[in-house]
Order: sequence, then structure tokens, then C-alpha cells
Amino acid sequence: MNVLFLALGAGRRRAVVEESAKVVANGGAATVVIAMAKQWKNETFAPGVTVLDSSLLHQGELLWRIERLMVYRGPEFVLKRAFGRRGGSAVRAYRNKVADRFHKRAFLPVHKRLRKDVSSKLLAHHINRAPRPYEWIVVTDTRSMPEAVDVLDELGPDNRIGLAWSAEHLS
Amino acid sequence: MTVAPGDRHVTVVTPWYPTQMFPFRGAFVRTMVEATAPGCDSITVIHGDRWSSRVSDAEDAAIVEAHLKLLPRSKRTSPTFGGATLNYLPVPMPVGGDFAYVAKRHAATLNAAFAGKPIDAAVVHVHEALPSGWAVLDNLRPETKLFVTEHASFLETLLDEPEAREMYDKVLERCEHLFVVGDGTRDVLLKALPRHAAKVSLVANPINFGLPRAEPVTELRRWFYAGSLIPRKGVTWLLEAFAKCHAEHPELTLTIVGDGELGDQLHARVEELGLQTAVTFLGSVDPEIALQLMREHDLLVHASRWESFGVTIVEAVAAGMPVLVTRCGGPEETLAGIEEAAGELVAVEEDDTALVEGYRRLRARFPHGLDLAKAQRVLDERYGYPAVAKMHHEAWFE
Repeated sequence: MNVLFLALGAGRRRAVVEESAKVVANGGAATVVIAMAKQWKNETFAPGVTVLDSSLLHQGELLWRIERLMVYRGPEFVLKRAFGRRGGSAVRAYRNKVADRFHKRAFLPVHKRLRKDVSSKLLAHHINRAPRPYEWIVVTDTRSMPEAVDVLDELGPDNRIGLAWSAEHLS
Repeated sequence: MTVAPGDRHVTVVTPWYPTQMFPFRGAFVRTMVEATAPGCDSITVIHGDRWSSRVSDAEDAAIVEAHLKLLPRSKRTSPTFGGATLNYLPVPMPVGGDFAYVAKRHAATLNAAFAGKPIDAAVVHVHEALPSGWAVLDNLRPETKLFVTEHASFLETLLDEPEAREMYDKVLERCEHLFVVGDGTRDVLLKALPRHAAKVSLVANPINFGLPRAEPVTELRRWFYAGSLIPRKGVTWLLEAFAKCHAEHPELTLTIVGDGELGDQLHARVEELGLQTAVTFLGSVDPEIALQLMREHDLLVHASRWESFGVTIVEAVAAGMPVLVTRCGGPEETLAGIEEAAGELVAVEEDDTALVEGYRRLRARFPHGLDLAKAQRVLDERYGYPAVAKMHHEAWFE
């Protein structure tokens, strides 16, 4: 059984952690889609559970690639050339102290606001391209409900993926 | 399916039922289902589970619209205890809202799930008149018998709200009978709605007495608490009392099962007291595990300020464990006549003195001053599965 947990609101974290663990323990596969990693920092997912930050689904987009070029690859190239043998540590320091912080604190929030309309398309794309087909979407909180409707619309009327509110009810 | 007259099909509607999110919540509903199922043709449990979130009005509107779209295509049923079927319905709810509002949201979800069709059952038994009783009113056939069990520890606050009281009155008007799990709850209810006195009577939460412990308790060393970590449960006084008793008897340990708003404070206090090796926090666990833990501990200590029934106390006796509990409403009723046989009841006080002195008295007269076998026998007759099932079946079908 391959289950996609939609947990964008992080409203029922304990249920998500426990249920995804049970799916994996029973020989299935569980992917938990979250919106903000920091909301889950106190939770520990069972080994084998895949946690997918929904923002990562956007990585192939132009906006995301521009950010990669402008904030990561460009400056890092310059630093390597400028610092020579000490370029490696300069790049690591820059990445930790500047690029990652910018990415998390500035780019991601703005990106989420600007590209909200395409998240359901990307999620549907992720579901369609999964190497092991998903059999169930489990909607785990209220904020995931509108997203679930959009994803199911994107998947179209012929998709056979099931919908549930808890993995405890799956057979 | 259409239920023929005389068939014993029962639908139980409840806002509480154990889930992975809240393993303890509604464990008494599950035991009621487990106890009564053998005498029924079928039982369906409808669990309207409140999913709260802090959202704006616009977000809430979008959530409600999405919820209604998703309901018809969602898989909601699964097998549950006693051969019953569980029908799980999340009820989206913005944080806040009074009791009447919450009941209306439950009703909207149930109406959407049943799409205007009545509940297919000869008997509908709801736990909590509000929200569950109110939620089913539009989904009953005229001939369906409605019963209510009221457990709410917040009943007085609920009945203080004029609209909620009016809704409660309508539920009582429609139902055959309302069961309460303690005199305290009955008094609160009849003070607000006295005209329904004839419909209100006592019923017990069923307890499973069929799970004996491997070895009897031989010393009162391993203390045990199971419940929410909230102020009403008096768990801070319990910890203080344990610290004092531990100072006198360093071999004592305390296991705390449950979560709640006081969790961090209790952890900090344990460190402050240097009791890290003596006190274990297990968080919430499945009810079966909690019962197993009871069979592995020596003494249940509960310091609640108020309980309508106090299931845990009876469960502890069923697990062969003495109890040290406060006279907080439920326990003095459930343990009436067997207080000394079962353990020690102490006054509700805003300090740890009564608990500490209670433990000293209990320890002084253990084991010969107790009679756990007698306590178990008496409680089995009162609250065992057969007794409670018989009472329900008589009310439902005769």
C-alpha cells in the first residue's frame, strides 16, 4: 500500500507521525507532504517514511532556477575564484550564513504566496510520476482539504486513487 | 439496508473515540460498544471528530466547501471493537465558538454525510446531547429510538449558554432516555432542565474485568497515574505528594501516562526535585497498553478536582491495583461501600497533604486492611460488561 499523507496545515502532527509509521511497519510506503518544515521540528518520523516539503516540488520552475543561479551558483563561483585554495570554506560559510537563510526566510515565503495556484498541479504531477503508484491520499488536517480538492481535480475523473481521513481506515 | 421493526441494529454517535491523535479520548465509548455489541444484530459507530484550526473566515469557508466535496468520495468505514463498524467523520472547526456553534458544525457534517437520508438503525445512542444528540436530530426516522449518555465534565458551563440549553432541551424532548454516569452530572442537568427528570437515570461506564494480572500486588511501590496533564486532574499535587513520599521511601517510582498543557511544567518540576530516575513520563498510549501498565504497577494515584465517573479508578481495581484517589464526585459513587476494600479516598485540597497522609494510612494497613477481591467482585457486578450491556439492551429493545 502506497499512501500520500497531505499534512499541509500540520494540525494533527501526532496522528500523521503515528499513522505513517504504521503504514511503513505494515510493509507499505508512506510519503508525508508538509508545507513548512519548522512546524515539524519536534516530530520524529519513523525510518522509511518520506517527508516531502511541498516547496521542493517547485524546483524545476523558472523562478526556482533563477534563485539557484543568483543566490547559490553565481556567488559561489565568484567566491571560489576569489579565494583560491580557501574557496571551499568560503563557499560553505556563504551558503550557511547567507544563501540558506535568504532561501528559507525570504525566497520560500514569497514563492509560496506567488505560486500557490500551481502547487496542486505539481502535487498531481508528483502523484502521476511516482514510480510506485499511490493508492491512497490521506487528508490529515483542515488546511489540506482545499488542496486535496484541487489535486483530485487535477488528477481528473478517471484516476483511481482513494481518499481517506485516516490511514487506520485503509484496507 | 433497511432496518425491519424489531431488529437490533444500533448506531452509536460520539464526538469522542480513540484515534492515533488522541488514544485515550473516548475509550469509555469503545468499551460501551464492546460490551453491548454481543446482544445486537449490528452496531455502527459514527465518530464526529473535531478538527480544529486557527483560520480566517475566508479560509474556513474554503475548508467547509472542500470538506463537503471530499466527504462523498472518502473512505470512512472500518471495523472496530466488538465486530462493530466505525464511520469516521472529521468535523472542521475554527478555534473558538460556543457549544451551540460546535453542535451545529457537527450537524452540518452529519447531514452532508447522510445526504438527507435517515440513519438506518432501530436505536440511535449518542454520547453527549451536544454536539452528537443535536447533530442526529434531522437524521432520525420517526420510529427510531434515541438515547443519550451524558459524560461532559463541562456540562454546567454548556447549560449556562442560553442557545445551547435550548438545543439540549430539544434533544431531551426527542430522546427516550438520557443516562448520566454520576449523581453530580444528574444534579447539574436537572437544575437547568428539571422538566425532564423522568427521562434521566444513572448508567455506568462498562469496565472489562476479564483481564487478570499475573501477580498480585505485594507492596505499594510503583505508583501509576493515567489521564490528561491538566489542572483539573490535580496532577501537580500528585507529583508533590509523590516527592514527599519518595523522600520517606526512596524505592518508590511514579509512572505518568498522558499528555497535556502541564507536561513541560511537570517535567521541569521533576528535574528540580531531582526525581528523574524515579518518575517516568510515557505520554499518551493506547488504552490497551494503559490497562497492561496498570497490571504492572502497584497503586493508582489520582488527585482529580472533579470527575463525573472516574473510569480509570474502576479500571485500576479491575486490574487488581489498590487506589489512592480524591473524593472528586465520581469515585465516592463508584466505590460506595467498598472504599476501604479498594484503597483510600482523600479530600480534594489545594495542596498535597491529603494525598501524603492518605498514602501513609494506606501503606500502614496494606495488605490486610484491604480486600481487593471483594472490591473487584462488587465493581464487576456494577460495572462489568454483562451488567452494563444488560442495562443498555433492556433500555434499547424492551
